[in-house]
Amino acid sequence: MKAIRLLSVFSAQLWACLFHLDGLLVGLASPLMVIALAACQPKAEYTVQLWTNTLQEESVSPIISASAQYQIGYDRRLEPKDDLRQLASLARWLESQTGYSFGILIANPNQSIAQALCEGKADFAVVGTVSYLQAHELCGVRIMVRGLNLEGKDNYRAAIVVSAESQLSTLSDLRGHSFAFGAYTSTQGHLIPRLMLKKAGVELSEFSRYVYTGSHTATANAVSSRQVDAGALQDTLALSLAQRGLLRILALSEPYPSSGIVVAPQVPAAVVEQVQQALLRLQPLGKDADLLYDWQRTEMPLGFVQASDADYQELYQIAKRISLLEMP
Amino acid sequence: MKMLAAIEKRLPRRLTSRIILGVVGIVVGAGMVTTLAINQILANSLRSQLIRNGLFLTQSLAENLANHLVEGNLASIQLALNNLKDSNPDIVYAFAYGPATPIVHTFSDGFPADLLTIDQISWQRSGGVLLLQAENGLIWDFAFYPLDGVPAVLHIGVSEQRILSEQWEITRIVILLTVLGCLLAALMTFGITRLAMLPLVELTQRVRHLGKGNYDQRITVTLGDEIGELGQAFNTMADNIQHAIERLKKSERGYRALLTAAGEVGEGIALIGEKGDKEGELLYVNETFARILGYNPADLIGVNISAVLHPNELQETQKFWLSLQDAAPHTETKELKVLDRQGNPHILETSSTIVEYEEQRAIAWFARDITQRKMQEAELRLRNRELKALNTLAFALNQPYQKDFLAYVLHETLQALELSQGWITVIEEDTRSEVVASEGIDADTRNLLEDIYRNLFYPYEPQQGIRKPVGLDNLCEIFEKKDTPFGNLTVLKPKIMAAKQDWQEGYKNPAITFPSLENTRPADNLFVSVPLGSPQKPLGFLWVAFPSDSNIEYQIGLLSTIAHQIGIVLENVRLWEELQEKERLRAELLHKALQAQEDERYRIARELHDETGQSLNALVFGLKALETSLSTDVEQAKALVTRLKAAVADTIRELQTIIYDLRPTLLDDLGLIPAVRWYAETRLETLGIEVVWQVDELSTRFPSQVETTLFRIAQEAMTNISKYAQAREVRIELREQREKNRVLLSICDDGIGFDVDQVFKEPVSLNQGLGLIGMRERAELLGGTLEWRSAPGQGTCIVAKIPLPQRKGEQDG
Repeated sequence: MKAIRLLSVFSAQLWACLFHLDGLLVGLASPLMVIALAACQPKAEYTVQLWTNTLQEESVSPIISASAQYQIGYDRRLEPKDDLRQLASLARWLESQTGYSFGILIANPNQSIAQALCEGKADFAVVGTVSYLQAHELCGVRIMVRGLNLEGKDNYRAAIVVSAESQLSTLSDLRGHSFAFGAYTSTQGHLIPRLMLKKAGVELSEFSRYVYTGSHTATANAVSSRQVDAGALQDTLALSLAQRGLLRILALSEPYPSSGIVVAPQVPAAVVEQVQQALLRLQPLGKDADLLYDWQRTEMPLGFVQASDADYQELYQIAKRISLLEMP
Repeated sequence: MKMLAAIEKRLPRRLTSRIILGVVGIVVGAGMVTTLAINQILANSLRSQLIRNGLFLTQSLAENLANHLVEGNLASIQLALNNLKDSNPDIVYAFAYGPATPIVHTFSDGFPADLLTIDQISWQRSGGVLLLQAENGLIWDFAFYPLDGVPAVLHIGVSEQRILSEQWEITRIVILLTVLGCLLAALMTFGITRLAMLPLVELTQRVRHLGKGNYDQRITVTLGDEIGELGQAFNTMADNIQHAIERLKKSERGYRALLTAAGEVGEGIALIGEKGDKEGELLYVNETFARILGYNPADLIGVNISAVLHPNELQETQKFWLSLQDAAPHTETKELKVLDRQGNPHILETSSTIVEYEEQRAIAWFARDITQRKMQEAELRLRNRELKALNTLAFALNQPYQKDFLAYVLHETLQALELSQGWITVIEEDTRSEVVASEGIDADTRNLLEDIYRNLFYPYEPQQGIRKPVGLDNLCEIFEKKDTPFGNLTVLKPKIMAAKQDWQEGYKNPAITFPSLENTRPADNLFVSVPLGSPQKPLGFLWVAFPSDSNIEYQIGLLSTIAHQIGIVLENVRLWEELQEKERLRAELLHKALQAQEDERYRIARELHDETGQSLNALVFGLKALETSLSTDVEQAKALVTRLKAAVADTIRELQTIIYDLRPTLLDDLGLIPAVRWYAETRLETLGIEVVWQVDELSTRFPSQVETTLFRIAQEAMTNISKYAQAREVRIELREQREKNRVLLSICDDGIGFDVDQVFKEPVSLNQGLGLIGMRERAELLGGTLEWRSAPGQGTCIVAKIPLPQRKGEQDG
C-alpha cells in the first residue's frame, strides 16, 4: 500500500515537473535540435541540375582543345597511361624551358609513329630505334638526342632470357622452342634480338612458334610463366629480373646507341635547336626530378646526350636487311 | 531579472519537486548536449569517411580506367561505371572521358550540362571534391585526372542522404535514452529526497517549537552529512539562544538596577510608550522622577505625558521625540518645562533615547530638575542686566544734558531690562505732568497718554510727605474701556503700591500697579511706574510695561534705582535752569544799576543846575546889585543883603537835600532805625501813609554793610510802595533774632499787590521786578535771604533775613 501511495506521490510530482517543464522543453529543446542538425549540414559550393538540363547528343566530347604549337608523339613502351604520363611531364617541362606549347599525340595502334611524323601529325617523338629508323627511312626524320640509361651509358643492349628453371643454355638450343619478342617495332625487344639470333644462326622459322607480346613486361611475364620458352628483353629489365632469380639471361648483345627523341623535317631549325639544347639540359635526378613523372622507368632516366643519324648506321643496315623498315 | 522572477514563479513550491525538476532538467540538458555532440561527431566522421572513401574509390577506379581512357575503350569504361553505380546505392552518378574518349556516363536521360561546368572547375583545381546542391539533395562530386595534365577524368557523385539518415537514427536513440534517463533520474531523486527530507521535517518541527519559546528543544544527530551538520547547527543555535536569553534576563535585571541607581543620584528616568495604544503613556518612572513632580511612582504609571508637560511645550516636545525615531537614537540634551502636582513649573534638563521595554519600543526620558539652577541663572542675568543698565545710565549721566536725554535714557533702560514699551512723564512746577519720552507706543496711544497726563495732577501733600496722583482713576477707566495696544488688560483700579511691605520701606515707592498682581495673571502686560528722583517729591514717573509673569519685584527695585538717578539728573537740570535764569536777571540788574546810576547823576546834575545853579546865579545877580547899592543906597543894600542871606541859606538847604539823598548821614550818625524812620517819614508819611512800627530797640549797632544793606532794602521797598502799592498802611518790622544770629526786616503793605510770575515777564513792571531782584541780591551778598509774597489785591510782603557775623566778644569769650 505504501509503495502505491509513494508511487502516486511521485507521479504527481513528476507530472508537476513535466507540467512546468513542458514549456521549457518544447520551447528550448526543439529549436535547439533543429538548429544543431542544421548546423551539421555543410554548405553546397555549387548548385546543379542533374536531370532537367541534359545535353541532347548521345555522345559528348569534353571541351578540352589540343591547340598546342607542337605535337609530341611516342612509341608505346609501358602501359598506355604511364607512357602518356611520362611524356606529358616532359612536355610540361619543355614548355617551361622553351616557351612553346606542346601537345601529346596519343599513340594509335592503327597508325605507326613514323607515319604520324611524316604526315605532320607529330612534330617530335620519343621513339625507339626501330621507329626512328622507319621514320628516317620514310621521310628523313632526324634524331636530336639519345638517352642515358641508369648506368649513365648512352647505349643499350638486348638480352635473351629463359625461365630460371629452363634447361636451355645457348642460343642454338633455342631451335625448336617457342620464342617471344616484345613489340614488333621494339629495338631491344625485336631489332637487336633478331641481330643476335642471326649472328647465332637461328632463323625465325626454326622456332616451334614465336609471338610478339607487344611489350617487355608481357615478354617477361610470358617467359616467367613458361608460356614461351625464351624471350627477348631489354637488358636492364632482364638483369634486374635475373638478379631476383625470376629469369635467367641466355645471351646479352653488344651495346648499340640508345633510343632518343626525333624531330620531323617540317619543324624549323631554330625550334629544333632550342628544343635540343633544352633536352640536353634536362637533369632527371637533379633539379628537374619533381616535374617528371616516374622518369626512371623511361629509357633515358639520366637525361640526354646529343645524337646524330650517323650513330645508328649499323642498326639501320640491320633493320633494312631484315625488312624492318618496310612499312606495313 | 524579470525573466528569472517569472521562471521562479512558475517553479513548483515543494523542494522535492524542485529537485526532481532540476535533475530532469540536467538529464534533458545532458541528453540534448549528447545528441548535439554525437550528431556533430557522427556527421563529421561520416562525412570525412565519405570523402575519404569517395576519393579513394575515384582515384583507384580512374587508375584502372586510365589505359581505357587513353585508348578509348568506351565499352570497358561504361561497364566499369555501371558496375560502380549498381554496387553502391549512395552513388548517384559516374562519368569519365579521356584524350581520345568522349564522355561516358551513367545518366539514363542524357548528360547534364551543369556537370561540364563542374568538370571545368575540377580541372582547374586538378581534381578533388566539390559539394553540389542537386534536385534530390547534397551530392559530393569526386573527380580524378589520372593522366597527369592530360585531359582525362573520372567523376563520381555520392549522395549526402545517408549521413542525414544515420544522424536522425542516432538522434532518435539518444532522445529515447534521455526520456528513459529522465524517468529513472526522477524516480531516484524522489526516493533520495524523501529519505533526505525526513530529518529536515523533524528539524522544522523543532524550530517551530523553538519559535514558540521552548528553548530546550534539541535534535539527536545521527548522521554526519549536511543535514546532520544542520542539526548540530540547530543545537548550537538553540544553546546560544537559551544562553542569550538568560543573559538578556540578567541584563534586564542589571538594567533595572541601573535605573534605580541612576535615580538615587538624582537622575529622573521615565519610559514612555512610543507607539500603539500606549503611545505617550508613562510605562515606568523612577522615584526621583516622581519626586520632581510631587507624585508617587505608582500614581504616574499609565498617565499620559501631556498631563505633566507644560502646555506650551507639548508641540515642541512631540516634534523632539518624533525626531528620535527618524534620525539618531540619542538626542542632545533639551530643556523642557513640566508642571508638578501643585501646578508649579519645573525646568528639566532632559535627554532621550529609544529603548526596548517589555517587548515594545519606548522613549527613555532622563531628566534632572534644574529649576533652582535656572532661577540662579536668571538672577545672575538680572544682576548683569542691572549692572549694564546702571553702567549705561552712568554713562548717560556723564554726558552733557541734551534735549533728548530722557528718550535716550528710556531707550537704554528698556534695552537693559529687555522690555519694549515705556514712557516718561515729568511733573512741571504747577504739578501738571507731561509725557516727555516714549518708546514702543504708537502716535495714537501717545496722544491718548498726553491727554490723560494733561489732567493728572500730583499735588504735594506735606502731611503725608508724598505726591499723590490725582485723576489716576480716569487713567484706569480709559484703559479699561479702550482696546489698548498693550494687550488684553484686565485692569482694576490702580492704587498706591502698598502690597509689598519691603518695597514701601525700601524705596518709599509710590509705584502704581494693579491689584491683580496679587491674585492671578489676568493681563498680558503689567504697567508699573516708578518715581523719578525723590519718592516723596518725584519730578516725574518712569512707566514700563512688563510681561505679566516677569519677576516684577526685583525689576521694580532696579527701575527705582534708575529712576532715582534720572531724578537727580532732572533736579540738576532744573537747578541749572534756575541758575541760568538768575544769571540772566543779574545781568539785567547790573544794567539797571548802571542805568540808575546814570539817572542819579543826571538828576543831581539837573538839580544842581536847576536849583543850586539858579540860586547861585541869582546870588551872583544879587551880589552885583548889592555892589551897586552899596555906593548908592545903603538901605536897599541892607535889605538886599538880608534877601541874599536867605537865598544862600536856601541854596545850602537844597545842597544838603541833594547830599542827603545820596547818602543819609543819619545812618552813619544815628544808626539804622533812625535812618529808616527818617526815610519812612520823608517818603511815606508825607504821602499820608500810616506807618506801623514793630521795632525792637537795638542794643548795638550792626556792622555798617549790614546796616547799609538793610537800609537800602527798606529804601527800595518803601520807594516801591510809594510808587506802585497805593497802600494805606505799611507795617515795618525790624528785629534782631539773637537765637538765629540774624536780623529780620519785614515790610508789608495792604496795597494792590502784584502777580509774582508776571512781574518778571512784563516789561511794564520789570523795574519793580528788578527792584525785587536787586533787594534779594543785596541780601544774598551777605548770605541772607529775601522772600516776597504777593498776590493781586492782597498786598505785598518783603521779608529779609540777614545773618550777623560772630561777635567779637563771643569770639573772645
